[in-house]
Amino acid sequence: MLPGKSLDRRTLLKGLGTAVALPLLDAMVPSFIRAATSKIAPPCRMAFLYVPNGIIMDEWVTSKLPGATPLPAELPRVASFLAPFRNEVMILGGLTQNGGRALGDGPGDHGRAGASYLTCVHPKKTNGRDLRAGVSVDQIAAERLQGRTRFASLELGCEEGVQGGSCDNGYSCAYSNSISWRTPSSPNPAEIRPRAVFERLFGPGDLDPDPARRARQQQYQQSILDVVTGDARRLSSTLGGSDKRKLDEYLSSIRDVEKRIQNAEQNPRPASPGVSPPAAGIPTDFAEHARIMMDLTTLAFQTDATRVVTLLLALEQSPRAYPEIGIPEAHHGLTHHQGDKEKIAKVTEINCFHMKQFAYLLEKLKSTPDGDGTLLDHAMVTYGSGLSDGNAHNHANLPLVLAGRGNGTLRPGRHVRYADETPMANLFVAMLDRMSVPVETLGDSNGQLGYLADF
Amino acid sequence: MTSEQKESRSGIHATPDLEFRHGVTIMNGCIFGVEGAAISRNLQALPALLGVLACCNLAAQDTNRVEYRNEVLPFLSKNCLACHNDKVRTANLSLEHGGSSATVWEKVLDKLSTGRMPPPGSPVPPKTEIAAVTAWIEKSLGQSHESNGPGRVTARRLNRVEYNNTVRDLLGVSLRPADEFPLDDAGYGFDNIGDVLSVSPLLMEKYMAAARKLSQVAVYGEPVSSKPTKLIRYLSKKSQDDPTPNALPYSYRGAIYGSFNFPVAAEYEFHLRVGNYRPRQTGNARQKELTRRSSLTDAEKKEFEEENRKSYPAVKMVMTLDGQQILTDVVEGNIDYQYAHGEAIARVKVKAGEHFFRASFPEFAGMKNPRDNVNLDGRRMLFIDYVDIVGPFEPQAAAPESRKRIFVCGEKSAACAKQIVENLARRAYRRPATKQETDELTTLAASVQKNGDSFDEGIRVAVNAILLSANFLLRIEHEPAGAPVYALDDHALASRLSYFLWSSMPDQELMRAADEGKLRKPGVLESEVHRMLSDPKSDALIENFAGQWFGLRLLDRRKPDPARFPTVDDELLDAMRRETILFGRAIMHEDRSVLDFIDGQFSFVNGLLARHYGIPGVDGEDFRRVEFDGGKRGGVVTQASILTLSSYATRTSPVLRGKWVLENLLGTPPPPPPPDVPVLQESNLGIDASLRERLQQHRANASCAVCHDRMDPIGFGLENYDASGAWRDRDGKFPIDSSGNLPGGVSFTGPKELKQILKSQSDLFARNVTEKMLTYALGRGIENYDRPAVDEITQRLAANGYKFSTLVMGIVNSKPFRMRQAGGNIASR
Repeated sequence: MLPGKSLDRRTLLKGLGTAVALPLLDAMVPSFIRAATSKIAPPCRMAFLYVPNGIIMDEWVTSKLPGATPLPAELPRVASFLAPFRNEVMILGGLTQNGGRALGDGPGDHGRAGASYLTCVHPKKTNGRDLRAGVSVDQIAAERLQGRTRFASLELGCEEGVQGGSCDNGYSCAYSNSISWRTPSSPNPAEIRPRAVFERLFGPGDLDPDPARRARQQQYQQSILDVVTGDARRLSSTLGGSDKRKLDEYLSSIRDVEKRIQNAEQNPRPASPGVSPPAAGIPTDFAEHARIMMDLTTLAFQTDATRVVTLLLALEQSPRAYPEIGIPEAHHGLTHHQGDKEKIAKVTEINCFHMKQFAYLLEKLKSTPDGDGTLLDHAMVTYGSGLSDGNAHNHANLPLVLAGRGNGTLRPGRHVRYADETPMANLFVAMLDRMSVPVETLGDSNGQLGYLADF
Repeated sequence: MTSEQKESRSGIHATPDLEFRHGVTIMNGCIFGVEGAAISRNLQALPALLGVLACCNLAAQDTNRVEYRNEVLPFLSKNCLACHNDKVRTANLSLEHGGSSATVWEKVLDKLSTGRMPPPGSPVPPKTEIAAVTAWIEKSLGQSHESNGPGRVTARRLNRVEYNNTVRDLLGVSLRPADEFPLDDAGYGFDNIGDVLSVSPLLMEKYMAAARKLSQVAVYGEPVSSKPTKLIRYLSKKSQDDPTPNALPYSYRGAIYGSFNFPVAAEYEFHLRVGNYRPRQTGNARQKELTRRSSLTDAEKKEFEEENRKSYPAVKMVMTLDGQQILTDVVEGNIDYQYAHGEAIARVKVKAGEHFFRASFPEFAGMKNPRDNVNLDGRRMLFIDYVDIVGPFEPQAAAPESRKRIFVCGEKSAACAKQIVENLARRAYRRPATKQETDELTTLAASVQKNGDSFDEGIRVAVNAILLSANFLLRIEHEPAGAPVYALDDHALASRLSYFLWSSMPDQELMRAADEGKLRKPGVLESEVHRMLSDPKSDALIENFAGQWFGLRLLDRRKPDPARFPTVDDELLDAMRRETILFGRAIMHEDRSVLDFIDGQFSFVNGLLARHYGIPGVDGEDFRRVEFDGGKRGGVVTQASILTLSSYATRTSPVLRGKWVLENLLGTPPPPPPPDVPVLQESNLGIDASLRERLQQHRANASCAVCHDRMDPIGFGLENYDASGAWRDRDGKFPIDSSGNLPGGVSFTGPKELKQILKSQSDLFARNVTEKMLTYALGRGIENYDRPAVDEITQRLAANGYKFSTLVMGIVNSKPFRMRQAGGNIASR
């Protein structure tokens, strides 16, 4: 099309105005350009998927001794759904979230498991006031990547947050409602309405068609923000203590949104992605809900709307029933099976049901071309839980799938079992490094996880 | 005094870091006897203990130590150490070596002096002993009642309900943008707690979108298409577990109901289709023959038609809008007859705003078994398939109501702009706007006009800014410089009052009283409270306070399994919820005793609920009041809503019900279970063993019995109510045994006697409801320094027949509500 010229992804999308259909994208990048420069090299993406209440470890890939082996030819039941992607995934074992353990605070493993999963700290036991966890890995990346994409990160979910009372033994529900934490005291709520996510990514249908009017409206929007910000700053100087902190929260939220608006002006949305918006409302069928969220994740990566996504498939301690697969009992209750074979079988089915949705995401990422490969080649996607044995509330040897090639920095197809008590935080340090936003430490990390690539 | 002692003495900023109510560890294999023998008393711990306490001088410390040994320690070992020792550590507390910090002792003091510990059902120690111990603790902590402060509520962000209500009252717009906001986090059981409600960038984005939309609709009205279109199609769920998104609640009786926000005053058409799946009768030989034939003569067609029509009785279908009938139709015949029957259409004048519609077959409300309307294959025989709303037809040209509220003057001048902005900001910020605020907003509006946009657009932008201001979104309480504790000014008080009683902003009358500085004059506050309680907006108090107190929001998550409870549908669950809300409203509007929540001998049922309860003489879909005579029903603990949400989907749980009563009625929640509880054998419940027998395991193990002896008997007393709240005399093949034995030798049989026992704990109940409502009213948890206020309100309740208005007035007049601790204001330093 345009020989010799490198094509900026966003210019492409702006110009097209319509379909970001897959073949088109490929055709836009003639082969002789593909061979050329770093301008085409796609960025790395990261996504963190979460399932609650642990996994039946007997149906998972585990081993007792540390080491790296190819994935077994016969995968156990829950892992079997990864079979079509055995060359694109790694199954890691031996990783631990020590922050999820009681450490003297008594019961509350579910609240801790969710809050410590991406923050790798021991959350403060509180019913509502003075929440304190840590900054989660996705937000560390998002903060450093701010400005490069329209959205620094996206937090998605498939289960409505719980309201009313404490959730787990003295831990506020805020601890299990989110796994993403912007600051140690501010959890990032997940968006569970697919339509709302779509509209955030691709815009509402009711934008003013006249560009001059649109520009004036944007100007007014900025003026409004200036007025309320100035007002709030004045107010803040007359307040003290906790009131002032609330005002600060308010002000920093506005600042955050202003940054997004600026980004939007530099990185305008594609006008329409050629896919129809999902129905308004929340799907009650879990598989449908999960898949829509995964479609949106894929679209977000594909259009480079963001490079960091967290997807909370269900909340920690989730009481959700799965009548779709014939299980009317609550998930959490079943996971306290105490050895009852029937309950274990049901939990296994739920684990499989979740895993099937993950396989759907892998399929979508694998079949979406991206630069000189696929989205899956240029991504690192984790899938796991903050508990391994949900019955015993075990925070060690957590089930973890690391999918994708991370732009060539991962060597999938293996099962790597690390030494006992290896902090999961080490994995996140390794991932941040691969996203080119390295950190010295994260939570309770004591190094960077090795054996992920060639060694 | 050491600085440590000073710190523990001040009490005001003490943040409890030991949650009493959580954490139980039972060491494996260690069963602790309830008698309390063989506990080591480590007297070495005494000096360390006293070092933590703020005791004044060495001589006093000696006396203290002696008193501890002679009075406190024996009391502890007799009444407390059975549970609160190192091995069992109930509620994560061990008193075996004395409390570890001042905070612990404060909690001990609180529990002992309020009668919450020893827990109800345990032997009650003599009042003199308790008094001696509490006096000792108070002395050691250096506390006195007078020094207790009013506490401090952090500036509260409007929660979702409050946001929707406030924009409705401020602008007259009935959009509900907060329905799209992320769920509010809850604390202490309520979703309006200042410290917990945070502002995130996601929420800020939603605020911005909402403010833009609201300001547009308020100034220009809702965008309306030039031609009438189908605005929405409402589908009903096709089964109790139908996963169709956005489908309306399921009704075995075929009803459909919901609400819609009509954009503009105009005429609208309602199109609905009745689904008729009444099966062909197979008995009729002539029918059979006609069905089999592939072509019929005209006469035969007529005959076929008539046969079909006569095969079932005609049923009337009625559609109402806000309770007024707008459409009726008659459904005749079987599936074949109805096939040709088209849509039923009604065209009605409707005012702008939210309206409730319902389409149903009213005579079905009297169906004893709603499954009579369900075919063998699960499809209902008669039901409303969908409702389409088409319009608007001939929209009225009149300006939207909201414009009148905003444009308080008609000219398009700068002076008018200033007036508009001043008026709106004052109402939105719930206090007069400052000159700077007004100037900034008028400048903003003027700059819009300079750009060539209209006067109205300038106002719209100003409205947009007001809706995004921290002064609107947060309830800020102005703090005067210098005072460590201060009385709230009239505007702050008005705001607290209206959000307490209405979950919304103050109305004109309340604002005027505040503007004129009259609110705190004698008599005025009281008359305002009574006026506000009589106002329909006080329904919010019952919906939001009582709704969360009882956990009614849980009802959506605890729906009974349709396989085991085939007559329970969404419509019945909604009726259950409504019963409890109407019950609460009656207690409020009739200013009844709050003890009626326990055992009030009346309620509100409609035909559906009456059939579910087995109450004769109530028919139809409308709710009406029924009086009871001390039998099976009366009080929340006999209402299906509470009975259902305290059960599992498949069966009752005496443990959950016992916990619900202890937690929500008495305010003495049991600690959570230990981590390694073996599973309850659920198979063959009702066949091999009754649930009660299975739960015997709780009594067999003494370390389980310690807590379960308090919970299980209450649940057993309610076992006659199944997991959907219906009465039963058998559980499978076992007759229900509803007797219970509480620790301390109290025994009872059945719900009536159980409620008598609960009523005898009126002090605990009154204290509990006071604390809960105070939490809701303040927007923060109750602390130790609130005890005097709670004590006073509880006493006043007992002296005034426990009336609802006494409780509300007591809270409104209390120190924590009227006053506030300063926050370390920079200006005041």
